[in-house]
Amino acid sequence: MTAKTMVVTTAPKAAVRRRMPLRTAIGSGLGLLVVLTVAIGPWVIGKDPYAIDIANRFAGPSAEHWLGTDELGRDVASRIASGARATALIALGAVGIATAVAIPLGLLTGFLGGWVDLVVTRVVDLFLAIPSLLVAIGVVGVFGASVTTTVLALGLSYWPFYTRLIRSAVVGIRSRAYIDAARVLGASRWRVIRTEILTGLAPLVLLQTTVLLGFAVLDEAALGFLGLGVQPPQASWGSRLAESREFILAQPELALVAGVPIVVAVFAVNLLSDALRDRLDARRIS
Amino acid sequence: MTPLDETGGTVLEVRDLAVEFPLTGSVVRAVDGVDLDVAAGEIVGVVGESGSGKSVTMLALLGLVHRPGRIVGGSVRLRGTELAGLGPRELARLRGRRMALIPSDAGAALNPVTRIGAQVDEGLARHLPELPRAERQGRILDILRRVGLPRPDTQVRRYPHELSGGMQQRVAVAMGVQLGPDLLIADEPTTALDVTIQAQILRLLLDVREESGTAILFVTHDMTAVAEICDRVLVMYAGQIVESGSVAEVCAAPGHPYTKALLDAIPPLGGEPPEELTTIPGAPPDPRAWPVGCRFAERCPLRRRLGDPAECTSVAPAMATLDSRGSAGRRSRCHFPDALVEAVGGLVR
Amino acid sequence: MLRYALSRVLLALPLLFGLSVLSFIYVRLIPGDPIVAMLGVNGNPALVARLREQFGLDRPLLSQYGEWITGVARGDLGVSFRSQMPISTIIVDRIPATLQLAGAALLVSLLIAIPAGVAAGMRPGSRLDSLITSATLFGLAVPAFFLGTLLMLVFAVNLRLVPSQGYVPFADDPMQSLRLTLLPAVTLGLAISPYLARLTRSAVVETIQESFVPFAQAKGLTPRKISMGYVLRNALPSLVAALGVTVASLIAGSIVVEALFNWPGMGRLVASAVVERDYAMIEALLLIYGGLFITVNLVCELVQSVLDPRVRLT
Ligand SMILES: Nc1ncnc2c1ncn2[C@@H]1O[C@H](COP(=O)(O)OP(=O)(O)OP(=O)(O)O)[C@@H](O)[C@H]1O
Ligand code: SF4
Ligand SMILES: [Mg+2]
Repeated sequence: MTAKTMVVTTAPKAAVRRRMPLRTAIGSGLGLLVVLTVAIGPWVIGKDPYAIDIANRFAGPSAEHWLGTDELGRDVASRIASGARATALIALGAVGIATAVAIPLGLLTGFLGGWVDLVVTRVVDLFLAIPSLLVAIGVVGVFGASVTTTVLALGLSYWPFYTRLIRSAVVGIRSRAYIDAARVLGASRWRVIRTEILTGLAPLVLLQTTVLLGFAVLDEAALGFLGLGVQPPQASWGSRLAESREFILAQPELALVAGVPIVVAVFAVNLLSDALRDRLDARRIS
Repeated sequence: MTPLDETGGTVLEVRDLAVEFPLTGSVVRAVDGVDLDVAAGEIVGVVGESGSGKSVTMLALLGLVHRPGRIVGGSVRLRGTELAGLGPRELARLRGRRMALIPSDAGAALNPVTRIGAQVDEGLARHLPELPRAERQGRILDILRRVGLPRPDTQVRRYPHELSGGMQQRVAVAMGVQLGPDLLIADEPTTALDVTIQAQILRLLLDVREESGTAILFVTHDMTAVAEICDRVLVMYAGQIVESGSVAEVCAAPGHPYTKALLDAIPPLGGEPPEELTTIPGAPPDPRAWPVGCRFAERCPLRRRLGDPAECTSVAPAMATLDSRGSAGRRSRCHFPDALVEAVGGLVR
Repeated sequence: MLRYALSRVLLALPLLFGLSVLSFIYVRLIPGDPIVAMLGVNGNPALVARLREQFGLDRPLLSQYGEWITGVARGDLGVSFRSQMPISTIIVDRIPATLQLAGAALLVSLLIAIPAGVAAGMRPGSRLDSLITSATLFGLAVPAFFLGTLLMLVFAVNLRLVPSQGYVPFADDPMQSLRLTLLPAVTLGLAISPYLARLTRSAVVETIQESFVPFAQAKGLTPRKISMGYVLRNALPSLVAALGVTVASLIAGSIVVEALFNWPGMGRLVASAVVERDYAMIEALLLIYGGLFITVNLVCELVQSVLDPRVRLT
């Protein structure tokens, strides 16, 4: 008892929690900016992201082209805005796939235990031994680079660690759920278990989805940069990087402009998920 | 440091000690106006429900209340030296040498990656740096032998996890007493141990007092242990001391209904002492907003018995001398201590 | 101790076996005929025949695997159909460059992330902690190629302090080799630092909450002794584990950074093998990177057990 109390006295959780809400504010602001770009960006800019104008290539920012033009004279701002849509859809799709695999698998293994658990856990361990970007690249190797492949590749590279997370959460909740369920009879027993699992997992899933969205944006960009993601001329943040990479020494600002939205989006996601994590931690303590 | 009276007399003098923990939106005043005195060679028991502020008080004595908590007032004098004004370096120099701590769970309090001998040596090396290494080695074996650790010469090379709980606790006691401190603070030193080992550790505390005249503050939940080894006892409730006096007198005629309830909760002779004293109905008040009147009022059987006098809930009782019974130093924080004697028997259901 | 080490090694073996099966199956997962997928329908017949021979696709799976794995055990990873060279030769050629970059990057990261993580973890909730935590959140959002481009622009293009791209073997011209390593190593090192810093911070935060810390203070030990002998010493095993985990980020990062800086390391092979559909090469790289990760983590576990006497017993 005393040891515990002393611990609390020394490293107060209260202080860990007391962080500036500034973080949440900045995160929400940047997040809103990204959402707006995705939702109405192309409409606000009102330029065709695919319209080539070779005479005007590599033009600097102007009233006509807010962020200048690229190597084919296309409007960079509108390419980024419409690329934002593609990237957002890819990220959502990838996280969707990972979640759709991880939750049933995590529930199954966490609940059943036994050999099912053993086998799945081994497979998860195996996949975790390969860096996730490499798993994604492997998937691209099988199906060839495209939008669909990118979604699939990222989804498949996230499921192992997500499954492990869900599984251990389920194992943690399971025993308590069973104890509570034992107090009631018959059919409502299942309901108790279901409610406990759902209320236990929902915050975790919310948090993980947010975190993974950030990863997905980064990895879409990395695949694109390596020429293994969305293929130019189709617009996405990753393909924009692939395009600008060819001129990286001559026109490095193009690559930087292509990278800024990625930094902004992922930073927003990170700030928000960190705030969320603090919130959840605080709730778990009290 | 000032020259000190080394023989007998008051070792520790605490006045109006207060500790606060600011939380988001509120402040917990975990220790609120604690006065206590400990004389040389005295063993003083500190009892009270979980959360009553015993540990925080003890840490405050050692100057070890950490952020965001802080000592907001009061005076702590160790052999006449005021600790409140000392800087962190000076305090650290006193800790371990003049006042020492025996933790409740030595298994968790010992450094898991350091051998026993080296760990005992840390205190010596820190406080007696002029002592040659060989001499320190001799003292380490000596102190470990004195606390009854079997075969100390082999134990010093072992890691904490290779020792039994009882042996770990002995090592912790050895580290506490090795420099002959004036004051030894033992915060539940036996809770993690089984009954026979508990008895051995209590015996050890008595030996320490016997041999070096160390004053001991002994925090516990076990009233039986208090009766066994303590001279005096302090009862804490809701961040305050509510009763103090010699063990014999307090046990014979408690001066506060809370003490009475604690005593009634002691199991009959030979029974297992309870893990925690939870037999008093109700819960202590919220430390973020102490009640205006008596903090025990809500649970107090005496108040109900007396027909709910207004003082209880409107006036905070002060710590008052119980002139009617026992020696000086018998004090209680209740408006109606004398009614308690008459009410004995019918108080606790 | 020895028993523990042995049990850890034995536990890693099935993982390595699983990895070999996975890499092996990988090539066989490709829809249709992988040889056709690689060379197209009108591929050079001689090459087609040679690749058929190499993969042995018409034989039973088990015997294909048996032959392949005995080859791997002898260091024979097959032939890259693009360059017609043994894959093991190609990879071995590139190991020095990759090691040079990864080693330098790891050094950069250790110098940045460990002090930052320790400083933040020692005083959780403090200003400094907030600052460092926010910095890691930002750092995690900056892709390595973005950072690399920025550094290249500033230090190579504008300030002309270092060359922007290229590689010279250390043995040929040590000075030039180091100058060329600087930018990619700093890029990669900075890219993995946020991960390492966060892992370090949580290891330290966990340790300062242990009850041996207040007890050490109660013994009157100096703050210096407590942070070195107690907190850092006890966090060290977790730090080693964190380092093992970070290797995954290091590998992923090196693929990107090598591409950005034209660095002729193993990471470059990954992207080009996929683009060129060089399946034997992909298979080999999966095996090597996975094996590397498993081995590094095994070593980290063993080091942990040396650092923590409690582990050795079990
Ligand atoms: N770090 C902290 N942050 C906030 N409040 C704290 C902190 N540490 C202690 N407290 C408050 O101090 C009160 C007293 O705690 P303390 O540990 O002294 O009780 P105790 O009497 O030693 O209990 P136990 O018998 O369980 O050891 C608690 O109720 C708690 O509200
Ligand atoms: S003051 Fe009143 S409420 Fe408080 S202990 Fe005495 S009788 Fe009970
Ligand atoms: Mg306590």
